[in-house]
Amino acid sequence: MAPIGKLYGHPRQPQTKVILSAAAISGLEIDLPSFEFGVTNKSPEFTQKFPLAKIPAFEDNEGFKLIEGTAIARYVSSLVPDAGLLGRDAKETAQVDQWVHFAETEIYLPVSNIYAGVVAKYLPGFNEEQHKHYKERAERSLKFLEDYLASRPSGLLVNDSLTLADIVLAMAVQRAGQTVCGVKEREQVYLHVYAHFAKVTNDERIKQVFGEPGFVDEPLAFKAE
Amino acid sequence: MAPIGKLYSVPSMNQTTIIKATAAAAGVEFEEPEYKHYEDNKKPDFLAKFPHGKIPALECANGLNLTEGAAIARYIASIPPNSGLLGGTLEDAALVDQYVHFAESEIHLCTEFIYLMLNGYMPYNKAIHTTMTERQIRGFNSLETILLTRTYLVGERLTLADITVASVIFLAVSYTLDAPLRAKYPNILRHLDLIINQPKLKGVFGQPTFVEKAAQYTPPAKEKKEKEPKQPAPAQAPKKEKPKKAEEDEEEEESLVPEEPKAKNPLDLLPKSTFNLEDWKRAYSNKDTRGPGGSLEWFYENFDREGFSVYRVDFKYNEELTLVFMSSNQIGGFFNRLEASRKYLFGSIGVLGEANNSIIAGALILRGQDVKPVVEVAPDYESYIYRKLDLENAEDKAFFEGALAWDLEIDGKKWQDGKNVSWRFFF
Repeated sequence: MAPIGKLYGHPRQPQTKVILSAAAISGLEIDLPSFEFGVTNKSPEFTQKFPLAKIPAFEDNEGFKLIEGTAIARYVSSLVPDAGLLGRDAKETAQVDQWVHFAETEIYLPVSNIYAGVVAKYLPGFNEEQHKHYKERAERSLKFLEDYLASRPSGLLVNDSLTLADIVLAMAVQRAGQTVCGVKEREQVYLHVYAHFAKVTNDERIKQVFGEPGFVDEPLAFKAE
Repeated sequence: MAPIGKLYSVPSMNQTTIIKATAAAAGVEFEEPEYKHYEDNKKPDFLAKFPHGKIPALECANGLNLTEGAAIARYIASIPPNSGLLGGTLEDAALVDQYVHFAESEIHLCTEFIYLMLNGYMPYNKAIHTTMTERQIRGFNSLETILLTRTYLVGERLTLADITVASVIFLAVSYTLDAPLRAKYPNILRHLDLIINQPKLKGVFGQPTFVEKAAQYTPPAKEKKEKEPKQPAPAQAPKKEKPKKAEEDEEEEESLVPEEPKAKNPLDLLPKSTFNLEDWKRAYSNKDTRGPGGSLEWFYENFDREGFSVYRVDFKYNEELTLVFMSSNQIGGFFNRLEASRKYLFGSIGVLGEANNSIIAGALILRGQDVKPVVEVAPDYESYIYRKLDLENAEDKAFFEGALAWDLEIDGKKWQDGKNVSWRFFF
């Protein structure tokens, strides 16, 4: 099958991983043109197509353009309904949307802010109180998720096959394992959450996309500059 | 169509507005059971259905229990097959999703974040405030560019994208998207006007409050407040503000808020008073409240009880209050809506108590003997109870002084005084 279009993004960017995983499970190919952040997306050619200069950005062969990682992933998933990534009926689709939104706002958002503040250091003004705030918010959500996943015989969020919700959650939980969850948290506290992560990312179709988890041994501590 | 189920929510949430507007546009109905936040969502039967205890939450007759506002709105839009709210093709549907996500992550997230910091829910940090402001402006710029050539965001008709974007902008114009910025975004404003005035949506949105100047951080120390009373008053109240009109824009026939004919305020016809409210506001800002040489001393020396009166004010729905920052927003919003009476009124109102066990109370000093002509400019003035205070009465006097000195205590609930917060209000 010919590629469905081009994705401008960084292969290590979490949202890009989600899109590439959704494509892989749907049996679709997407071109990843070489992309240099801060250069490619600032070029007039790019900003003319995508005024916000935000990645990931998608353009199909007919010139249809899309931004916002989740929207692109959802679109890719909608192209092959039989792959089941959006669930099998309206109810399941609603649940997929629910968990995608939950994973993004309640887990990914706080842990990615910690990542940005402590590891990548591109969050000006990030301080200890912020760190604590985000950590608590992430922990509350992980705890809730742990209980939910413990009650799921399939170990998956919506039904017994992989959906977009599982992929987005794995993406968020990977970042959590790089920030707020050390070995102890992963193996003892959020056992089912990380079993879910292992199950999703060991799927042969997307294993390559996720790559090495890059987990930390101890939760990141706040470091003053 | 029979109701699809029950929605548990509080009306002040942006997500609730989006869900209700979507339902109204789709012709979908749901019941809205009485719901008390932090009470009902802690109950076992609620948690059995919605384990995270998060709202809005939709309990459907078909057995589906759903949380996350955006997911609920999307589900509701998908119920009538031809609602068109999710776009007619896969590509249009993807664009709808794109704009919904864009509105949430690039615009609303910033408004919310700034709001949380300025209201003491998160520690204030200037660098973050600046970053968020810049990020949001980038978002506004993109949105303006997109709307330059489009009436609706996707296709030629209303979709969930328009509802979400309008709802997010509706909130932004009351907080960060202030008058100077609005002048730069005529198309965003035109789109907002178009969406919130759709016949089916009008009742859900109501009319926005346009902030003149974006909310800024005010350190809590009293000394910092000198500037405030000096502000020129009602002539420039936000209500009269009109977005700049693009020359070629045909749709912008009317201003967003109709002009109100300016009648002479009856309060201006009262006999002249020796008590100058502006002087009082300055004294209150510059002096300590209690003690010798304090502003209360100044007050008792200068107060004219013929021309002015003092009222106690209590919020009627204290049992609905949850987090302190939300309560303080309630007060902030009330004061914003009282703007047109600024020159007849001084108020000091605070949040007493703690999260989920708090009340809103305070004192007003106002022109004349009757509270109504002064406060009725605020559409929600009836959400408060007013009682005239007798300063000869020791108890009333103690209340008045406590409200001004921010050390009022009622039933063991203490006036909130966080370190980095601006949740004490006065003007």
